[in-house]
Amino acid sequence: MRRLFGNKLFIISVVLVLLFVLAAMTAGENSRLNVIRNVISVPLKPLQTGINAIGGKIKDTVHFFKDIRTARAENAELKIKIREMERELEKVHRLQKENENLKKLLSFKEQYTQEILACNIISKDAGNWFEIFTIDRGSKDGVKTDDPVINADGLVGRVSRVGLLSSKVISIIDTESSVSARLSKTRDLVILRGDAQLRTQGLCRLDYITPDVEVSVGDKVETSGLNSLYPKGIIIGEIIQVVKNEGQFDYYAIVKPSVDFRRLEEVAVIKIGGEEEGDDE
Amino acid sequence: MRRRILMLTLLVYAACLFQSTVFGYIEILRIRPNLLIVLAVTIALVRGNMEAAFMGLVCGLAMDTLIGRALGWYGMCLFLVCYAIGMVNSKLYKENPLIPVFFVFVSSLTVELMYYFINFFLKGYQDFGFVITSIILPESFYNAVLTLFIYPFVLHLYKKLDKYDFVHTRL
Repeated sequence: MRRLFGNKLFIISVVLVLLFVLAAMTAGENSRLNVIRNVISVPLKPLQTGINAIGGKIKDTVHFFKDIRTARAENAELKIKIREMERELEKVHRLQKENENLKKLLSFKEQYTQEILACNIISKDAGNWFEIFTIDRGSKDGVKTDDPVINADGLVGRVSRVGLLSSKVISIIDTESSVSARLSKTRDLVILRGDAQLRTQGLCRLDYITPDVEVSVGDKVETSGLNSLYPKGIIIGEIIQVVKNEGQFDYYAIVKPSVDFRRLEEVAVIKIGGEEEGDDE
Repeated sequence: MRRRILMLTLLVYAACLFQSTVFGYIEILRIRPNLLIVLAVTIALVRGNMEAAFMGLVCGLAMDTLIGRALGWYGMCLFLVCYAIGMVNSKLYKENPLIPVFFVFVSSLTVELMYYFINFFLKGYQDFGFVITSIILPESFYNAVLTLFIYPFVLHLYKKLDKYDFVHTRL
């Protein structure tokens, strides 16, 4: 037995087998073994938050002088825009009231009970392979796997692994992500997925568009609400190019997400089924 | 020995911290270097094969945790690569600063290729050319450049540690 453990080849094969088992067991996003990650993620979190804050401050100071030059022109422009928007907001309020009343009449059921949790991004993806980033909320704040993540512009992604104090969010442009989506204009169902090449430009693609579906550049894309993951009607982005291959049945389109993934700083997690959770505690 | 374990743990944590935060600001062409690969390989260059392999394993698993996907693949790739380096390093003439640079370049290439094959190629993604030219090669170059700064630091640290532990760095 002792000779066996002295043999390096034996030790290597044992470690390799253990690693395979570990990889297989942690591949599932809900796996209990994911607790091991806390060994790294918990001590790092406060430091990451600190460094991120300092980095943000430095960036702000660097941009300060540049911003001041453009600020005046922008200010005038924005004032005009605000006036226009206020007018439209009034209209929206009226429509919202109307909508609520009509929904009551139809006894329409809301798809989810939702609670929104604001989060900061404390680290962008560490390697070059995935579009996964870390947010500063974890299971302690009630974040759960598969919770949708949005920001003011639209859909960002979903929570893929939850740690104690922080969690990982996989964005919609990651190669492993796919979202059931709908074209806002024609209401056709499509599938949005990340692409290895497009992701480096912050874009993603619409797959499996059948020939009878009319797609044109500029069409808006939103979530369909068909799989239970993402609530219905969250804006995803806009089609910027339609690619048709000769001799192939279906074609695809390139979508520019309304979220700018390079400049993402704050996001919000939608805690789905917030009421149920209240019962647990 | 206790001091050594403490120091190496701190080193790995510091590397994780840098990799996940500061390196985000020094990305070139959206590619960031992989500090944990550089660290594991430089340590492997000054140590025997079992210790090298073990440090590779630890750095790899840390990288897996940072990335947030299945644990173990980076661990496995770095474990094997560092073991191989630990086998040949006693035959190397390490006064030449280009030796570690070369080793980090080749190892980064190997590790990232293995990682690509395990995580993407076997799942049927067909973008090999693109991945080689715009992810793996730039990252390996970047890692190699980073070695110029990391290797002297690791060497210095190990010499300090050996002073307390009476183990000799392979030079």
